[in-house]
Amino acid sequence: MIRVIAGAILAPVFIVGLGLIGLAAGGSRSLDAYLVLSGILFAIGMFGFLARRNAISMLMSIELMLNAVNLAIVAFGSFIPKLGAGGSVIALLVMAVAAAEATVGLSIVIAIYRNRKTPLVDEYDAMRQ
Amino acid sequence: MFGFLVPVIIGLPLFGFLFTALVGRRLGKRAHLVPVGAVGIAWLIGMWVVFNALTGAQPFGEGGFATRLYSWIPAGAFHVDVGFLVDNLTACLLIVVLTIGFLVHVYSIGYMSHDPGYWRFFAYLNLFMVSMLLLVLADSFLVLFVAWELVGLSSYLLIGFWKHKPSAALAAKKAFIVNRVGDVGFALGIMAIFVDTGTLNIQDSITRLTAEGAALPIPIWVVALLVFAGAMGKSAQFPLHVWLPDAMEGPTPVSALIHAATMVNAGVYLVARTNPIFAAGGDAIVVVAAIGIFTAILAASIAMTQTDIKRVLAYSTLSQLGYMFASLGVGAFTAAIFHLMTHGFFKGLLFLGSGSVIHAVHDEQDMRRMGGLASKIPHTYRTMLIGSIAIAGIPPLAGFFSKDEILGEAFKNGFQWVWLIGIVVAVMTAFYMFRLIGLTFWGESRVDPAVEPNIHESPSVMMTPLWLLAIPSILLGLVLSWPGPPLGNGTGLLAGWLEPVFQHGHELLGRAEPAFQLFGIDGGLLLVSIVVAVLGMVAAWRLFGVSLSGLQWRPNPERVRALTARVPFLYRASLNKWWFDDLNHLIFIVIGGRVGAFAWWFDRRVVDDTVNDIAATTVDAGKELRRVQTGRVQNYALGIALGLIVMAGSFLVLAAR
Repeated sequence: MIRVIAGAILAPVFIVGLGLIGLAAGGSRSLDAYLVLSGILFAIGMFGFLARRNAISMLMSIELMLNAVNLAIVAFGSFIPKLGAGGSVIALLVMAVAAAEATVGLSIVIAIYRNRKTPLVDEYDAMRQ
Repeated sequence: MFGFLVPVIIGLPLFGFLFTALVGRRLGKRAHLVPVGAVGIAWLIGMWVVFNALTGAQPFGEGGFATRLYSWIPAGAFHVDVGFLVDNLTACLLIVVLTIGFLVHVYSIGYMSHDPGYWRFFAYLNLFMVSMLLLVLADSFLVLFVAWELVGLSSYLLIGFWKHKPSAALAAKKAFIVNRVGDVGFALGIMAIFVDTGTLNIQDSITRLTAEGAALPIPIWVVALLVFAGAMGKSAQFPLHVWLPDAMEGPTPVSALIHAATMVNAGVYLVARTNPIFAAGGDAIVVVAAIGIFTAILAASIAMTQTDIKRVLAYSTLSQLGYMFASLGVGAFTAAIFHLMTHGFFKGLLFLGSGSVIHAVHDEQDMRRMGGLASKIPHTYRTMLIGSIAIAGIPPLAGFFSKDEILGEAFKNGFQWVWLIGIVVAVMTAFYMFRLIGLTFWGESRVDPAVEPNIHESPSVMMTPLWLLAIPSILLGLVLSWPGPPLGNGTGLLAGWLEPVFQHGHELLGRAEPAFQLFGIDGGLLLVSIVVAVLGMVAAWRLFGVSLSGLQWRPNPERVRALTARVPFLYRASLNKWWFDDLNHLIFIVIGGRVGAFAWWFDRRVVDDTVNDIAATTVDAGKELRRVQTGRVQNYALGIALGLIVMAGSFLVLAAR
C-alpha cells in the first residue's frame, strides 16, 4: 500500500519536474532534451521498481533505469567534445554490467520461484525472521 | 632424629583430626580413643624434645634447632620455606600447650560423654592442637600466620560447638570477626616486614630489621605496632577484648584449653618472639605496656561484679593477659613468659574446676544459685581453692612468683605507673577470686532444691586432670624461679633458659639487670605484693564469707549492698562491662547499619539504576527501530530512492546559490 502511494506521488513529481526543466532549457537539438528524456525514463523505471510486486517486472524496471543512465551518458559524450570516446566506452561498460546483472537477477528470481512458488516479492520475507 | 620427631608432634594430632573427622561418627562413645591417644603420644615426644632443647643438648645448643620441611612458595625474590624452629621459648610454650592440651583431652572424655557431638568435639580439639603446635613451632611469619588463622578457625568451631544455641553461634561469629580486625594488622605487619627485609623467616627478618643502620622503607615502630595489633586481637586486649567473655558459650574444656591456657597466649608469644622489633621500635613498646595494664584493670574491675562463674574467670583471663602485655611492654620478657606458663596451668585448672562445678549442679552457671558446695564436691573444691590462691598471688604458689616478677620488673625499669596500677589489679584479683570461691563453695546453699539431692562429684577421668594441674599450680613458680641450687645458677631456671632468646631485645633496650636484693628494693616490692594480695583476699572474706578450718566468717550481703549503693556509677559500669558491648552495638550495628543501609540504597537507586536505564533505553530504541527492518526489498529501495532525491535535491539547491 505505502509502496503504491509513494510511487504514485514520486513518479509524477519526477516526470513533471524534469519535463519543466527540459522545457525551460528549450530546443529539441540541445543536450537538455536528451537529459529530460533520460530523467523521465529513469523516473518510470524507479516507479516500476517501487510499485510492481512481480520480481520479473522489477528486473525490467532496473533495466529501464540503467538504459536511462546510458542515454544520459551517450548524450554527454556526443555534446561535450572534450570527453571524446569516453562516453561511449562507459556506456558499453554499463551495458555489459546490465547484461550480467540481468543474468544473475533472473537466475535468482527463478531459484526463489522454484522454492516459494510465487513471483511476488512481498512474500519473500525470509530476511525478516 | 629431631628433624623427624618435631614434625611428628604436629603429625599425630593431624592424623587424629583426619581420622576422627572421617570415621569418628561410626565410633560412637569410642571416638575419643584415637584423638586422646594421638595427643598423649605427642606429649611424650614433645617432652623428650623439650628436655633436649632446655638442656641445650645437640643439635639444639643455644640458638635452638631449625629444621626445614620443604620449600612452600619459591617465587623469585619471594621465597617461603615451611620449617620448624625449636628454641627455648618454643620449648616453654610446648610444655604448656601439650600438657594442658593432653589433660583437657582426658577431661573432655568425662565432660562431653553425654553430648551427641562427642566425635565432632574431639576432631575439633585435635585440629586445635595441630594449629597451636604449628603456631609455636613455625619459623616463618607466613606459616605462623596460617597457624594463627587456623587457631582462630578451631576457636570459632569450638565456641559455636553447640550451634543450635543462638547465643553460642553469635559468640562464635563475634570472636571470629573481632579476631579478623587484629589479623588485618598482623597481615599488614607481615607485608611490612617483607618490604623491609625481603624475607619472612622470623630469625632472619628480625636480624635484618634490628641491624645497625639498616635502611627501612617502613619504620620499625610501625612494624611493631602492626604486629601488636594482631597480638591484641588474639590475646583479647583492649579494645578488641569484647570477644573473649562471650567465647565462654563454648563447652568448658574449650574455655580452659583455648580461651585461658593456650590460644589467647599466642599474642604474648608473638610479641615475645619478635621482642627485638619492639625493643628497637622506640615508644611502640610503651603502647604495649599501656594497653596491657589498662586491659588488666578494666577486666579486673568487671570481674568483681559478674555472676556467671565462667565469665568471672574469662575477665580474670583478660586481666592476667593484660599483666603479660604490661610485662612485655616494660621489657620484662622473661617475666611475661613466666606468667604465661604459670597462668596457663592455674587458669586451666580453674576453668576445668568450674566445668566440674557446672557439671555437678546440672549446667547452672550463675553463682547466685550455688553456694555451700565445698562439702559436696570436695575434690573440685580443693583444686579450685589451690588455683584461686595461686592466681591471687599468695606465696608460695605459682602465681605469686610470676606476678611479683612482673610488678617488680615494672618498678625497677622505671614504669612506676604500671607498677601502681598492677598493685591495684592485684588487690582486685585476690578479691574477685575469693568472691567466686565464697559464692560457690562457702556459705549457705542457694542451689535449686530440685537439683540439690543430685549434686555429685565428677568422675575420676575429670578429677585426675584437675589434681595433675594443681601440682604445677603449686610448684611451678618456685621451680622456675628458685635462684639457688639445686635448680638454678643464680638467676632461676626460666631466666636461664630464656636468656639466649631475649638477650638481643634486652641489649637493644639497654637495661642492665641488677642483682636480686632480697633485703633491698626487691624485698620491699615483694612485701607489698603479698600485703595487697592478702588485703584483697580478706576483703572478699569479709563480704562473701569464708569457711576454712578454724576460720569461719559468714557472708554479709547487706554490707555488699551498702557498698555498691555508695558507688552506684562504678557498680553499674562494672556490671555492664563498662558498656563496651553497647558501644560496639551503637557504632557497628546502629550507626554502621545506617551507613550500610544508605550504601545499599545508593547502590540500588544510583549505581544500579544508571546501568539499568542505559540498558532499558537501548532496548526501547531497538524495539522502535526494528520496524524499519521490514524484510521487504521494495521498502529498502524506497529508502534508497528517497535518499537519492534528498541528495540530488540538496545538490541542486546548493549549486543554484
